[in-house]
Amino acid sequence: MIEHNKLKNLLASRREGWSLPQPFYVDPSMHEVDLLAVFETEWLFAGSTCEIKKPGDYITLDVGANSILIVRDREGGVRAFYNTCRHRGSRICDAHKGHAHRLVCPYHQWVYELDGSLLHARQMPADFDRTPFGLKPVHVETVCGMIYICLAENAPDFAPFKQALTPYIAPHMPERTKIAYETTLIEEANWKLVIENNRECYHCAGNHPELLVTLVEFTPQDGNSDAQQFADLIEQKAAKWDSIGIPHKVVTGGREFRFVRLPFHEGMLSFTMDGGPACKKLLGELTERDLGSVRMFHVPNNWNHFLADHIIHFRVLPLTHDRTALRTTWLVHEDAVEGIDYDIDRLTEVWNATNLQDARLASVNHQGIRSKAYEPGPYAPSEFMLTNFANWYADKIDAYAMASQPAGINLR
Amino acid sequence: MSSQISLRLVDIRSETHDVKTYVFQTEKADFDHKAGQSLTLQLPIGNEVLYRTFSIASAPGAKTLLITIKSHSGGYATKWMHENLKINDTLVASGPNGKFTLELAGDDKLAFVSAGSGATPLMSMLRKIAEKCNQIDVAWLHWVRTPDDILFADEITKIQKACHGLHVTMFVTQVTPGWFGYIGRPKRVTLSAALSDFARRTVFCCGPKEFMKTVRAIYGAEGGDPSKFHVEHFGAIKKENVELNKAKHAPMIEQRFQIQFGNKIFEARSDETILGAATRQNVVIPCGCAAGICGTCKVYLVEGSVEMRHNGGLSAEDETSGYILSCSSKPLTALQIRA
Repeated sequence: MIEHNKLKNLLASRREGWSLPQPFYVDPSMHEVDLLAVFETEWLFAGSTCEIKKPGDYITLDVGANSILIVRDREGGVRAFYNTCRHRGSRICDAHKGHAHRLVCPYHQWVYELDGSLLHARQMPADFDRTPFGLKPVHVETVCGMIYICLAENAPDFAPFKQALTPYIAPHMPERTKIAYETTLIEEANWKLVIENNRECYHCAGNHPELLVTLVEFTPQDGNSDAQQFADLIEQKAAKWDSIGIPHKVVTGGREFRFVRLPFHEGMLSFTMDGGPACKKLLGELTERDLGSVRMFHVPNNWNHFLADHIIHFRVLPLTHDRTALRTTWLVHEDAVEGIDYDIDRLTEVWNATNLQDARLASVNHQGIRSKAYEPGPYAPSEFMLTNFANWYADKIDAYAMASQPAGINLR
Repeated sequence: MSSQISLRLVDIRSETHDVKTYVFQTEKADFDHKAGQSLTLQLPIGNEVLYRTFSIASAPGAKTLLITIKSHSGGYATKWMHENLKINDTLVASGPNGKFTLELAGDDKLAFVSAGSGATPLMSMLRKIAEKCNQIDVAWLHWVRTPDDILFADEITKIQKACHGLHVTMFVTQVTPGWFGYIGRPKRVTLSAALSDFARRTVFCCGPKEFMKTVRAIYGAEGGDPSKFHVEHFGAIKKENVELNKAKHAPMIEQRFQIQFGNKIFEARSDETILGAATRQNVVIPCGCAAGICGTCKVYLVEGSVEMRHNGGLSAEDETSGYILSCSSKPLTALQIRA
């Protein structure tokens, strides 16, 4: 438990443009604060609509102690519920993905319809009113083949993000994809270090040889000759993409989301060891292979790459203050055939290697911050997105502290 | 082996309102070609001889040699042929030429993709493989302006009836009353709907350059192997092209462009060919006919753009890869070329 005043003092001691004070990263009690202040108030990336194509297909995920069930209903809609039976609270679906004709609790077989309503509760009295015992709903939205959920009572407005992203990603036709491969990696680090590591490529040159075959590590903000060269490349590709109606300009929605299409190194097409295609069949109805990638980030737990031949989604969920689950999914055209159009190793090699390298970096970062020698350090200009993230995070904690004052935060 | 032969016209068949098939008797008894190859006809028009290359539509070994020709609206030579060729006329031709042949097919399943008179070399191939009807696996996608422009309809129907492995799909680009088939230029969504395993087939594609470029991009996007995509192309050649190598009336403003050829630099006027300019300045580009037929002066255009009118001496494969014939190209900008 962290006292309300301690949180306020920590926030007050924070310096903008510098890394966060130590307790935010390594204090075990911050886990609960982060769950309440961030993960139970924001839209969270949960998975892909192509994972639940047919009615009854479902996925589950854990947000702190809350298991969430996301299911395709009989009308084709996507619904999300707390995966907790209204009888005596058992989890209903235990697998992380599966198919159920109806949602049946394994304990006493209470039966729920795919819309969450309680359909049958055996041995209950004849006059038992099932109406109030439907599964508790969770806010759910879909955009560009992605499913977002929100555990807050009143969810923030999703529309600006949805409106901005939909036309941007439309050429990739994400609704016509399938998951070719997925992994979940447990990183020994606070979730914010996992996100921070993703928000900059300052570390790339020293750590990601496979990724840098394709990805340009510089940002035009770097202000050196490499950055200038990249700016020139961006301009050249922008003209080409404009001519074929492919969106590329940076879009930001406050500090909540940001996306931009950036070119790869000249001649490189996809995230493979040689920069060549990862999947022969292009997404949707595209006929142009050289589309760089759309890098899309949404607070607090999601970044993505949209390429001409595949899409990669990354989902971050905190397990404890020092353990974080990173789920990575690789999506290809729904008609692409493994072994002919793509090879799993070739498709996943670069980001599997990069994820492992990042996991190690986040873990040694976390270990180093635990030392009494740690004090916040200054961000480089190329780390401007870390400043955005830290400011956004501080506001979330501040809002939470304000709402929960003055007595301090109680365990739930 | 390419050689000169004499052709005697024995029949003219009207295929559509603007397409005719010329039926020739070859004088050389042992003349033969591979399905998909072409002939270059020497056409005595006015005081000059024009060279025009056409696909052979008949199958190898057929008794007569068929050449099916559309009279292009701007086509000088084809228009002349439609208006002037008579039964018993003889023409000199050279050939057969071309690598766009069934030999590239191997044992693969085939997709023929054509537009307009691009159907002719594919018809030669179809006539050939229809001889072994039970082994056919061919899907033919053909684009026409209107249903009235469909070529070889009767014969294709007959072959299709006999050979169950032949699947033909027509696309029209102009909405026509009574037509309920595919409409519109090639798009990935319609092409893959019409032929879901398009990318798994070896493709023979013949039609206008832009058409073939689009189809090639779709084939790549569907996951096709670029080395299994074969193209053939004969464009309409306009009358003024004939004048290319002759001095026309002086240009209003004479432009000069710098040409870099390997490590040599020379200058070319906008009204002369690259080869002409090089020769004038003692820069050697290996050449042969200097008339756009033999292809010896082929160079790769690294940078810049040219106006090119050749006489079939550059394969469609090379042309789409960026090669030009220096004898048939005039500079529009400064150029960088290499052997």
